[in-house]
Amino acid sequence: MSEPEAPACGRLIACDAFMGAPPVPGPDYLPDVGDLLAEMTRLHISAAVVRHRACLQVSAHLGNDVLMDEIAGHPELLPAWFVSPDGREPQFDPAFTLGQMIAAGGRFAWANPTAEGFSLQPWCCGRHYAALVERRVPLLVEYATTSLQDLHEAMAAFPELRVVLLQVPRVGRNRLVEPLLELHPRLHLCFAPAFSVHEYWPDLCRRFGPHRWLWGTHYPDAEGGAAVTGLMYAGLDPEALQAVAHGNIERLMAEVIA
Amino acid sequence: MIGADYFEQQAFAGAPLTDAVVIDAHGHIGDNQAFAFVDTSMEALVATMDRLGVDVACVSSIPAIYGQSARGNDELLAAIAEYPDRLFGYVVVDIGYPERIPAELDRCLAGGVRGVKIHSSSGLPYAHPNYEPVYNFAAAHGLPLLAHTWSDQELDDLEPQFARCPNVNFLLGHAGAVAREHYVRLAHQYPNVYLELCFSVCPRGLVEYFVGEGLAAKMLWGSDCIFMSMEQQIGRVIFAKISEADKRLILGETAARVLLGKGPGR
Repeated sequence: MSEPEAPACGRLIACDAFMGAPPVPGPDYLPDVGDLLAEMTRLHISAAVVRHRACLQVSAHLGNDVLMDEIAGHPELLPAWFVSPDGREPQFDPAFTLGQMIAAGGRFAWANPTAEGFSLQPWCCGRHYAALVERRVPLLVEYATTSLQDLHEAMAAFPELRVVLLQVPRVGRNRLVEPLLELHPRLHLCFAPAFSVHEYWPDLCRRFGPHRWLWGTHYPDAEGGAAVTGLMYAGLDPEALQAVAHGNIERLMAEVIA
Repeated sequence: MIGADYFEQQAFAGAPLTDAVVIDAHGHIGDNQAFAFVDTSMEALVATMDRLGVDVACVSSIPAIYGQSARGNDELLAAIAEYPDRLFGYVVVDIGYPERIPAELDRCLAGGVRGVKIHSSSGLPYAHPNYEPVYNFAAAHGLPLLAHTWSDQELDDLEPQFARCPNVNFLLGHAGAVAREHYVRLAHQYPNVYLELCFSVCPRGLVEYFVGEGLAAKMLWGSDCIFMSMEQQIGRVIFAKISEADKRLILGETAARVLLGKGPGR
């Protein structure tokens, strides 16, 4: 049953917001906290998992600090930290950094191996994956910066590792990702505007169940309204609709061992 | 009920846009190698249209774009014959085989198509002489012409036709995919040039930009379905920060005049 003054899916929680000013501002918007909150209000989004651009532009750890400073006082913004495989000085222990993130309220970690010079292969990220598995923290990675072969080997070596693949392209039935979905039941995909394929989301829900998909808006680059209509008009049954809109992400966050 | 206007309210409710004219100016049917479609059936397409409240989808054949025009147009003709009130057909020809073009255009017009689609994937630039019979055919019959546009060069190649064929409504597909100022200039300069909006990445602010340039009456919503999904692409207009009246124009009222009427401006 929908709440009054709420979307028919109950509520919307986005898993993929990416905040922070770029080196040169664009002509239409500045993706800071105020802009993100305004978009969330306009689109009736209850909460959003937020990553910070400074993690890529400067360093993972400075970016995490900037993120926490900027979202302070906004509990609807859920921090995701960039956790590199060697953690942060002086401990250089990803488990320690992850513990700090969890203590600060973070329930997702993210990684971009291209930006910070590492590999997602288990020989490189093994300690990191072990820490993520121990605390049941999902790892967010973007399709374009992730080797699917590396992802496969990581999830084969760490079958309890929870992964959310962001920005999956619109190539129809994805011939690379679908085998991974079959092999790795803890692999999740983000349903976002660019992942726009005629009749695909209901098809995925039918074949893989409704529990493998999170919802995102691809903030700030995409029109978030496309994410809203993409979900609301997808033709999902009510159970799947609510699972994608908020239930699956809430479950993943609740599973984190704090 | 939430939402700033009728369209947003319907979207948040997941309800079809029954109280508006909604026309998808840019769609496709058929199969493709690079995009492994889930369901290419007309039943699925029409079911999607019903879910959103789309009255008419204007479609061309994907196989026809990629070199199988006779077979692809056959499928198109069958589709528009089956759903004459829901589908509007654009004919596509094998542009590299000029000897086939006149007969195929005539055959498809007789079969019920009401527009022409050109696509640079055919392998020849829009300024190539092989396109002349296509432009002339559209002009002779007052048919709208939808052009895939993905570069400044394509816009430059098309521009001479806008004045040469004043009774053809030219729809520039994927408007804003390249320098958006170029689209604005063309839409302002030529009364028969319109902007069709489908764009996979759903860039934030693009619809508002075109409206801000005074072009609300020259914009048509399109989805590129089945290459993309209607449900995502329609959100770019439904949730754009523009007036409800402008949304009505873009979602269908202008297309009803430009595509379903005859001749520019009517």
